[in-house]
Amino acid sequence: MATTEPRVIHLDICAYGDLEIALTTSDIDVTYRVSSHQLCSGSPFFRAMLGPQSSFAEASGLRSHQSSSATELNGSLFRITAEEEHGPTALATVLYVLHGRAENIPESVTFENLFEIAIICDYYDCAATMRPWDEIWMGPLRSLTSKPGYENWLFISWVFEDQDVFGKMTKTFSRNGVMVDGEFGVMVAGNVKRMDCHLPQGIIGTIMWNT
Amino acid sequence: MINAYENNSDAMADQRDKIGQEVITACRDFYIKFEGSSSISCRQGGYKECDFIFFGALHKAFKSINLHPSDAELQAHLALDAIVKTIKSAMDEVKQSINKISVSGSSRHYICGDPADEFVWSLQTKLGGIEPLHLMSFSKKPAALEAKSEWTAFLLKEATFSSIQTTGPEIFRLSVCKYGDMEIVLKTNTIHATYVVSSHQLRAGSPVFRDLLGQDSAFVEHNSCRYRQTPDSGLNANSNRGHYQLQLKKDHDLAALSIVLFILHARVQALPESVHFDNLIIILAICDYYDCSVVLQPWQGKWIESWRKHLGSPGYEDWLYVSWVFREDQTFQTLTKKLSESGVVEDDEFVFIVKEEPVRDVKYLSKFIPQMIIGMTTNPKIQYHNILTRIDNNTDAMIEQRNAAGEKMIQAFRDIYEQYNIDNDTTSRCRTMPHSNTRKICDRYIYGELHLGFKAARLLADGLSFRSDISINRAVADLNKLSTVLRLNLNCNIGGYIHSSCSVISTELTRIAQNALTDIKPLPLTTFGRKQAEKQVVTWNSVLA
Repeated sequence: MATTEPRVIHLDICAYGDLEIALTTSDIDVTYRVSSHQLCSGSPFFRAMLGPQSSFAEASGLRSHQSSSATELNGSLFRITAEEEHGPTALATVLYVLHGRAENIPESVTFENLFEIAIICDYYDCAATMRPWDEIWMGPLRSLTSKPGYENWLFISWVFEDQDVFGKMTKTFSRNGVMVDGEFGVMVAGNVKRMDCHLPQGIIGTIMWNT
Repeated sequence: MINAYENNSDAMADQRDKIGQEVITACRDFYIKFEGSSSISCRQGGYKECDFIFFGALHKAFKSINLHPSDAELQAHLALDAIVKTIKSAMDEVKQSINKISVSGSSRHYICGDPADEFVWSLQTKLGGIEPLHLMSFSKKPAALEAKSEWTAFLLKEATFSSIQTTGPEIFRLSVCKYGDMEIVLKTNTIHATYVVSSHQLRAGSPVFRDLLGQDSAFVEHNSCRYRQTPDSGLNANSNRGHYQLQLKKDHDLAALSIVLFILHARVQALPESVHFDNLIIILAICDYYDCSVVLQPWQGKWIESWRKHLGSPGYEDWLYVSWVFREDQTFQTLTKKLSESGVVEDDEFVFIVKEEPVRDVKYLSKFIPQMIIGMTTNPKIQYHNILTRIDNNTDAMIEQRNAAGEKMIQAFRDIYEQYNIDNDTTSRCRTMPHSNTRKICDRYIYGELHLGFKAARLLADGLSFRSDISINRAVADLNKLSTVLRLNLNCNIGGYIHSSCSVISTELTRIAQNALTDIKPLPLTTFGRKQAEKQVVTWNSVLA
């Protein structure tokens, strides 16, 4: 049986970048060319991984790669790997924001897209750098916060620090919460919706640990 | 796990547990009241029937949600909202049933249903004790606290100031990019500012920097660009290697330049939530100079749209500049027409009279608006600049079209005025009684009104030229007023007769005034070599394209 080759994409987030991020899934293989300066500036995660004080293998690899004069000549750049479960488009969007490339960033995203972006921002700890895009994306979707099926708004409001939505959702969820197999869930239209695994346990509560 | 209890904050499951315990206890207490032998609820003579109704309804409701009054704590499968909803429904039924109790010779049992309402209310009050959680409880600060920094606070927070000597310039250093490879230097008499930046980010965001920093650049800035040692291409911040140094020749505002550089480097955490309109213009000036207004687009909602409601209002004439920088052709056209109609020329400046009384208040256009849009004045320096920059010298700018429309208006009024300057007995303009002796009274009345009206409007002073200190709007308003006076008086009584046929002069004046407004055109951006912005819509699907 013939297997479909994954789509290969090379994206220049920064044309003068000194680093490549690779994201490979079953159907797509994306390489993002980025500036390590911009990643370190906007994300404590990358600062810890690639910064001058870092002792991670990635940092020493990048430094030794930069010191070799061959880098610019043969075009090969130091390469790190992104989490497989991260959305390729969401990762591109976050990287464009980290590089201030407004002309490449979508102004309108769906709720699912925003959730993907929030997962990446949470992972790389770079939600604060998303200003003012987070507001531009969240604004039109705020009317959905009280509708069934949009419980992940709690996670989004946590990541982008939207107190209004966060307060409203935690209040509603506390009133509608049930425990299923020792885990906190919310009754939504007669069904139990489990809390998203990305949400810090501190917000959900301690009961889970006691049962 | 993030500690939710540092601030005494309960998390969601904890709140549910705590309030759930209270709800269960209240349910149990209420339920067992009706198990006793004496009547509890009946307030109309102690009939036991009322208690039976309560007890039966509660029992049925609890059973339907699998809640046992003997439970010590809230069962895992129960949600608080569902419990209260079920009990409220049961209590509504209780009230209906009690109202139907038939007791001969006594009053109905309406008030016996009151405990039902009281119980539901007490449960709802308990649920009201559930609080929204606060981000601060989980070591996160609400974004607004960080973001709402003021314009000056922004600089003070980000930059380091030091003064080498008390009389010398203040030394200002701002690290926009910690790992930057270049320094931008801005020197004035009072301050020497140095910004550490990344040349990559400047080149990516600004075509002007792309040209300035390119290999073939012949710009004066590039000539002053010193390549100290070797470029710091790596992340090693401890390196002693020097930076490119670019000395700007333009006297930019420090805070505005800082903000633009921060945006170009995507360092947006400390940027203010809103900016004053005057500061916005200064930021736009820098973006326009470096041709990077696109980087401001995401900030339009926060910084610009809140000012849009003032577009066209006195004091906000600089919206013309906003529309110029963002290439909003429709707004630009509307404002060039409006400003041409309302502006006057004072001391070679195109100014706008905000109010005359009690204190005269005029507004000058921003110095950043290109002179070619404003137009030529008598200032030879400005005219010279104008000739150099105007795309098409035959095109009118605002002052020119104002002057042209004003002079045309003066000429037309003069023509009418002269028609009534009749110094013989045989000619008359009177249409009502051209052969009567009273015709002269009509002619002289109109001539007198025109003379006094033009004089009051100061339109007779400078021959055929349009006075620089009068706006088109003002002249049009004065002449419309004169037209109204003429029409009303001619329709009443001039020399004992009604001269309604002669009031055509009034229509003529109104037409000429209207023509002056029509002669002033909205000027499109293309007149000055700029096109309407073509916004490329980036969709989710096109991000990876």
